[in-house]
Amino acid sequence: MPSATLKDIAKDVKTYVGLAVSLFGVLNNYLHVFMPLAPSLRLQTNVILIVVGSIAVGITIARIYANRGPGLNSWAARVAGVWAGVGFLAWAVYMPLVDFLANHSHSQSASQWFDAVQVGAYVFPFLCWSVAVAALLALFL
Amino acid sequence: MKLCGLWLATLIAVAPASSVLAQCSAPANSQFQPFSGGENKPAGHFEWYSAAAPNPRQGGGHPTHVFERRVKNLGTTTLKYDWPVGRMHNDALPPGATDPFCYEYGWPNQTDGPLHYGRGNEETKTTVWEGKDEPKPGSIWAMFAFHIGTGGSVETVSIRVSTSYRQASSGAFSYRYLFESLQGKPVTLRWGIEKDPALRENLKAREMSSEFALEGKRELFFDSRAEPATGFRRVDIVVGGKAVAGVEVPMVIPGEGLSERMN
Repeated sequence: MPSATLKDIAKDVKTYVGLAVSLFGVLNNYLHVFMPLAPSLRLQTNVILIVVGSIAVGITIARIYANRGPGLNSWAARVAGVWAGVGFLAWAVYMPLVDFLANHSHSQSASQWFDAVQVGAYVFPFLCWSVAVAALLALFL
Repeated sequence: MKLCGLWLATLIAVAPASSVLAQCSAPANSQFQPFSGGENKPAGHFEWYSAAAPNPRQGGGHPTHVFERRVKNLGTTTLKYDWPVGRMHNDALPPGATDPFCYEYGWPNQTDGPLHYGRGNEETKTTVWEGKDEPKPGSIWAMFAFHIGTGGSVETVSIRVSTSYRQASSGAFSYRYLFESLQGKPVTLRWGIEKDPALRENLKAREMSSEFALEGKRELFFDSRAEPATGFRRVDIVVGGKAVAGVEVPMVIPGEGLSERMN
């Protein structure tokens, strides 16, 4: 029994590799290799990335435990595939969305709303990929 | 020269807001050539400008030079910019509007740094005139104006910040801080004094917060044994709880007695 608990803990630790995706999102804010974001939006974006990423990965792990059994592999594969796909779709939409926001910001209040939209649009792909990676690792661990 | 200084001081004290803002410029001079530039890209179409000149207000503890910076939005949508070396930022400068910022400080040096603009990682290289260390001034003023787009209209917030100190006979220092809304409009300011315990304690003693409403003038006097230093502190314009625009203004600060170097 104790060895099973240790195995579960080890599995959790490995599954939390999903959080590395969120951390990559934070890193990208400073290295500018992936998706562009105005420096003035960095701080709130980083906080949201870490907090929302942790919650999403936590929920995914809980779901993995809830689905333990013969159907886990197919469930995990489906979750990983769907969330990865949605993440890439959101990533593809990001730059056109930023262009749209830049061309339609005509006031301070609109700019503030657009800031929130842009932060959400930046966080969403990383959130999807965090869930996908967590589910993917459940297939192999 | 003294008469000229007195005349200028009187003019600034009684002039209407628009005239005061019109004076927010460094006089043309051959000693310090202004720096300017701009971009015309989808992310932003704007001009920036930085100038320095000998201070027309000589004596009275005023620093030796004046500095002027501005950012003008030439585009058709709002411009989001952050200019760290220019010490200015605005989340949404309306189309056609110009944010001016001027202040007095020490001998000019030039510094390079980026101006970030737009919603991505775009930036443009800039060079600005900035003040270098000099013996502590007794009195410093700064003026700035920001254009805040609210729905269909544009609100201009013009602020003058003046700080000074004098040594009292007891050996303590008497500090004076003046924040003035040049158009008399109510505005909420956030004063970045997190690392200044003497200022924080004095605000607390007056049941004031570092975020305060300003309608007309607000003056703050207090005595402190802390020696005066000079440094830049952030003054942000707060709308809906968010600092939407702001600058770092030079001021006299009760501190360690050493002037902070502008970085």
